[in-house]
Amino acid sequence: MSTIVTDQTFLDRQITEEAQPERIRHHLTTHRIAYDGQTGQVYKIWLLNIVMNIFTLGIYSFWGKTRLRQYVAGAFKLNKDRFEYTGTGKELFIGFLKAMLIFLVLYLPFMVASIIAPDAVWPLVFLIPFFYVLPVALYSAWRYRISRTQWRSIRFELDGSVMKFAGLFLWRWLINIVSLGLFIPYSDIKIYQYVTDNAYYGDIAFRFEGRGKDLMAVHLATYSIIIGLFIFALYGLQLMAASFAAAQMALTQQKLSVDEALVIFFSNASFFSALACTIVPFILLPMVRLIYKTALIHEITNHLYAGEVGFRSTVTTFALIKLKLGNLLILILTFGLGLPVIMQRNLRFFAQHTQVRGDLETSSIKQTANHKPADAEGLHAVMGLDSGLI
Amino acid sequence: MTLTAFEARFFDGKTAKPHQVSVELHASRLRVSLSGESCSSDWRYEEIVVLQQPVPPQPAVLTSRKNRTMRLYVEPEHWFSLKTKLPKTAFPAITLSTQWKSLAGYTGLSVIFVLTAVAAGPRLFERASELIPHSTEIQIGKMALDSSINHPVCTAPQGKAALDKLVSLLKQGVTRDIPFNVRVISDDETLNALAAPGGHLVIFSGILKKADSAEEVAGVLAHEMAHIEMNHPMKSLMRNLGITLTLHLMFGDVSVLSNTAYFAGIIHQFHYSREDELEADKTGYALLEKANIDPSGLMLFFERIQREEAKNSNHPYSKWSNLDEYFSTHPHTEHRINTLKNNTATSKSYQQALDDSEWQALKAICSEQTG
Repeated sequence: MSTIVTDQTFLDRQITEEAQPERIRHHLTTHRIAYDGQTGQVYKIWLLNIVMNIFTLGIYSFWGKTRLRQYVAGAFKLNKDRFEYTGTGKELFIGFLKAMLIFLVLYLPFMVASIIAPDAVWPLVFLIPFFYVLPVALYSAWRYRISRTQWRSIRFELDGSVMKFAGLFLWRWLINIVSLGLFIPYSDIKIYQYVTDNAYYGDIAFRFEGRGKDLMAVHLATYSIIIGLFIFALYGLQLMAASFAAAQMALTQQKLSVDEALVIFFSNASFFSALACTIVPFILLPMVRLIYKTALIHEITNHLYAGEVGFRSTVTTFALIKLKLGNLLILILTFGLGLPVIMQRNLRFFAQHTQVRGDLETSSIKQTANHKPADAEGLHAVMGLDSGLI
Repeated sequence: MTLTAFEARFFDGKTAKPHQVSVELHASRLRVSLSGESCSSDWRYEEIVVLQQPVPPQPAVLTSRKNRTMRLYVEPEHWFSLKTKLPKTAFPAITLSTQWKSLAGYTGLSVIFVLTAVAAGPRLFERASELIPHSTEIQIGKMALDSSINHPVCTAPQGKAALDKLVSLLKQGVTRDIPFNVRVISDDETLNALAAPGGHLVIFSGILKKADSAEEVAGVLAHEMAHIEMNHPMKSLMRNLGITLTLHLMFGDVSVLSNTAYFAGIIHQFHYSREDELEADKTGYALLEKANIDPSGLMLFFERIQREEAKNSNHPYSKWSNLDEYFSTHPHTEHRINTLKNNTATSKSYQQALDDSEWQALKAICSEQTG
């Protein structure tokens, strides 16, 4: 199997262009990540999960999820060696119970307050902690999953403070709202930076050198296109309204029948242009957004380092559009039964478009005993954040 | 005897350095030797743990009980020859058949937990109401009334004095250390009185208008004070909280906002269970006895209400139609009258609850209003 591609000239060019750190230059091996998960196997695990959940009132889901994660992790291969997921169903179950308890404690003050003063506004103050729940759930889920993943018998770890992350997350969220989305790249990068700054593989720390600034040009471009499309759509809606008004006038003033009025409505030239003006933007909007998304993936992948090892993404906007459109179609056409196929597509896509560069053989990465095992991700499950399969 | 041997990947759990090893299967152990080097280590089959069975093309993942960070990856094609040599203990709870027990255990525990929560949750909350400090209770009651009742309060001084006199008479039998805060609110159309947490009592002026004597008002007052004495408002509040919370936890509904309206509905009236009402009748009776006030006043009042109810049923839009609102949650009036009648069998002389001038002042309490 030729998963190792040596690409001297290509890399040299990249290095001079982007001025990568000195030490990267000497390691010229590009490793592809392979994913060989079988869709049939995924279906087997998924269907068993569904059946068992019925008999166990959903309790099995923690074990089913674990089984799926185990399978998926084992299907990822980097340089001959597979990843391993070491989490257990029991951990997930206990995490879930803990999360329920946290929810109860957070929920009680609001419930009591809304009983005391059903019509008042002040009980809403007690909902403020719930803003924290989403980022806290996100980070603790990542932390759990990352700490339960290993490669070559060495664990990955995610340190950092859940509350600090939540604070940063909410602060950037506020900035995004106040700035009407203008500073989204900075927020995206800052949040990613916090995660990567606290990520380790054994005793090797991850390092991220991407900048929000790099994304501003593409963000502003797509941002203006999106605003343009919105205006276009508004114009379309206005045309539609005019067309509707004309038909209504025909109905009331010229005393035509409903059928005749409908004929006028649909034959009205402005109707079709209006339809086009409204529908086209709504198809184009997500696609335009994917241009930014592509740039973001490149920024966060290409500037990520683990010790002397670098990463590279080969994602293109076109490939991303193809993936997302395909997923949407599968979801709709199979009424959700295609979920495992979608998962497989996403995982394959990631493997196909992510490269690892550097020397993986002679490295002296050691296991560290400093990190405590993270708590399970219960809050994540309580929040219903598990939108995908894993 | 031929020795089975194959190549495998080995990691020592200390560094990420990959080792290509050859594995030899002996009778009671396997020997892992580094390719091209002379060093080797022996793993007895009893110490081996299978972390993952192979799912082609994924290999089997093995570790040793001596050092669980080590990993030996055995490709699927070599798995069978190794598997036959491993004892049952090498396969911890990773297959569904061995998971069954713990899974059934957890499911059973969860079912028991849910059933217990449904059965005992509300009761537990009811009991927990005793732990709430009085100051908090008073605050809760005040806020509940402020947010749900916005009628003007009747404040004629002589009327208030007469009311306070009734309250202090009845208070003699009260054992709970809680201050009573009784107010009459101006609403002649409503035949209602309610007890909120923290000794807050509200009497709608409809009661005063309808009552023929101070004893009747004292009867109503004693009933409501008995609710406070028995801590019914907090109990019902906590019970409702318990029910709702249990339901929410069970169905995982976190859309908290939508519940506000629901709470507003049940809390407004401070529903009591039928048992609570009968208990309040009994305790109210004791309070009246202790205050040396004729307890039959309450009975007379109930009888009048019953007559109104009868009349009311013919005239659904009569001005007393509010009657239903209050008494639908109360035990059947006839039943209560019978209970009270049994209690008032003995003939005894009582003091007058209020003298004539005081009674007239109480009836006119709404001649002055605030709010």
